[in-house]
Amino acid sequence: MKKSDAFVKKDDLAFLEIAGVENENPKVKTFYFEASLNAEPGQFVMLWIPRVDAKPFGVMSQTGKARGGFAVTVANVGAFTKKMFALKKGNRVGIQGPFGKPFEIPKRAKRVALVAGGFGAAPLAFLAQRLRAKRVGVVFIEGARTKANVILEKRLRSLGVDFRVATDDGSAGFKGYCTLLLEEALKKEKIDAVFACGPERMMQAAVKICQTHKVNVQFSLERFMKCGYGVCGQCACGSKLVCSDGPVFETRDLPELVDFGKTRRDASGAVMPL
Amino acid sequence: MGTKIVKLETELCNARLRNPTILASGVLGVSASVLVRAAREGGAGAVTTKSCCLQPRRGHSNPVMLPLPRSASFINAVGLSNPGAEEEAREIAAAKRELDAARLRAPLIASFFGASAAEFAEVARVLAAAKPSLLEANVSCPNVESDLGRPFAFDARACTRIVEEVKAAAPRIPLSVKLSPNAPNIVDVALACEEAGADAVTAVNTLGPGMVISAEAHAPVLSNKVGGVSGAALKPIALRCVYSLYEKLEIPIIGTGGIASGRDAIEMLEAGASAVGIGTAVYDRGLTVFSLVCEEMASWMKENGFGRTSDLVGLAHEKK
Ligand SMILES: Cc1cc2nc3c(=O)[nH]c(=O)nc-3n(C[C@H](O)[C@H](O)[C@H](O)COP(=O)(O)OP(=O)(O)OC[C@H]3O[C@@H](n4cnc5c(N)ncnc54)[C@H](O)[C@@H]3O)c2cc1C
Ligand SMILES: Cc1cc2nc3c(=O)[nH]c(=O)nc-3n(C[C@H](O)[C@H](O)[C@H](O)COP(=O)(O)O)c2cc1C
Ligand code: FES
Repeated sequence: MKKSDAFVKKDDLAFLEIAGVENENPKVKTFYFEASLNAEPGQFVMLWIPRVDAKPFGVMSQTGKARGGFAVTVANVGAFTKKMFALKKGNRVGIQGPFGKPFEIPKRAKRVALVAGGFGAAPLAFLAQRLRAKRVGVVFIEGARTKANVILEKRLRSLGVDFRVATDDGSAGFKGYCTLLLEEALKKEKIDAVFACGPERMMQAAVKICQTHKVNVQFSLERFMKCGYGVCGQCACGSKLVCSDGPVFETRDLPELVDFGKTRRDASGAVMPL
Repeated sequence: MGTKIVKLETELCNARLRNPTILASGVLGVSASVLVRAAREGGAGAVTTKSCCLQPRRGHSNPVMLPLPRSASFINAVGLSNPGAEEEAREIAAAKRELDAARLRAPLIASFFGASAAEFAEVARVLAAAKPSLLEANVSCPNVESDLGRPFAFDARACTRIVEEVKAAAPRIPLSVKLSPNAPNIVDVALACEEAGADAVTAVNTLGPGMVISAEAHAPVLSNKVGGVSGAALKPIALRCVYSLYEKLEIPIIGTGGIASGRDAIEMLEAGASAVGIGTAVYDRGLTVFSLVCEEMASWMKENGFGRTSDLVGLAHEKK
């Protein structure tokens, strides 16, 4: 399909040209596409490289319907993402989506906090984009191992968010966990809701902090996905299916999410520690 | 016509089901909690686990499944991924505990397969320890020919051996054999299973294999290239299979293939099924497809003067 007359759908496969690639850091790239996706923040797409594999990626940004464009930010962590990294502008990949339940923006929220760990910043960047368009104040807290791993900072700052960084080694911003920055914000500032995306242990810590401060928190989970359609059952976390009941969950889902912060399943379905 | 009371309770191989809808194998059934949810929230009368074998299998790479646009059908080649029988037995035991704790009288059906009659028997022995209500021998998966060879479901002699060995290994648990719509001799295979001691048959597994090609990618989309077709496209074939089986078999039939509405289920019972399996329709109608199908069945039965599901079984056949 060509450019902006293309529509990406959930139950049909679009085959799209990569309209641009941007290096975020040596391990993270953003891929741009020109097609209407009609995604909401928190939703994801399945990217297919023919004869290789297909994997889920959160939508990082989306432009208006007229120009119809969206982007995903990909971290190079394994076989599939390594192949993704070899792709250039003009190469084509299969895309299906959007999948999953998006973040819900509370009606009366004036100022909210977004907490990102690693490439969890990608789906939250799309949420920040939407929140700013609705004139909601955004504290964006990003945690990274070291300064070089901080991603999307320029994009986020240009959206007008209050950007705060925590690094493990203190090479940028606060030295320590990003969840400590969240705790500080909840103590000192008026925050109406929290959104988290990143390593599950980090989200677990964020959830605890939010419960203590009685603030609703939505968090986005990752599980091994096969179908994305809520059919195969592979992505179960407790009794919830991450691909269709999620990936975004909130405090009230916790009793059902009994595996949260504890276990996941591999491709065979076997249970293993996170 | 019309009747006041409609009862959907169904008996199947000594198990009592609240209703005749059964979650089909391979759909949702990876984890205990989701199986239980299919019964609790979804309303399934019984639930079937994803087929397992002795050793863990990762299955095929993605894509493993695609909706066939505009046809309420799916094509899939998951490749029988499973964590192995030992782990599956733990999952079954956990599901049974949860079902009991929730006071849900939903029997659990354990689906399994093997590369030989001996492996079928070994897996059945491991699973039987977790006491499922029914064992379902999957002899008919069309997506694993490259490593497991031609499905046993084409070979009546092979099925006889599988049933005999499984019955010897797990004599206390009733056994159903899952048949293939692709076997031209499906009735002979089923008769061989019945003679060897099977307590039921499940008809049918997916159709094909078929293929989806991306014109732009110049490639088949499923990583396995081919996959089994399920859903609406399979329904007329499933009905024909169940109809032919009912003419010859004494044992009950679980009719599976393209059931998405109460009307579909009634047609399947009339063809000769005692209960119906539902898989693909979970996509179109959601997890509560079982409750929806039951409501639609009940209102159809009320309108048409049928009080019990057993009154419908085999009605499409001429009276002998
Ligand atoms: C809803 C959702 C949104 C995601 N969004 C992004 C994103 O925006 N950017 C990004 O870089 N990554 C994202 N991921 C993770 C991404 O799908 C995996 O990094 C990718 O599948 C890894 O594939 P691989 O072959 O390169 O690595 P592998 O060698 O397969 O695995 C590397 C690591 O990724 C995990 N993983 C592998 N396959 C999957 C899978 N199908 N689902 C979930 N985890 C998997 C493994 O557990 C392992 O820890 C998302 C995952 C989910 C479920
Ligand atoms: C994604 C998917 C996975 C399946 N996996 C299995 C399986 O592991 N074992 C099995 O016996 N049947 C499996 N089947 C077949 C179904 O149990 C069922 O027989 C078939 O899909 C027809 O029913 P339906 O039209 O209601 O889906 C699978 C079907 C689908 C769609
Ligand atoms: S990935 Fe198949 S149900 Fe979620």
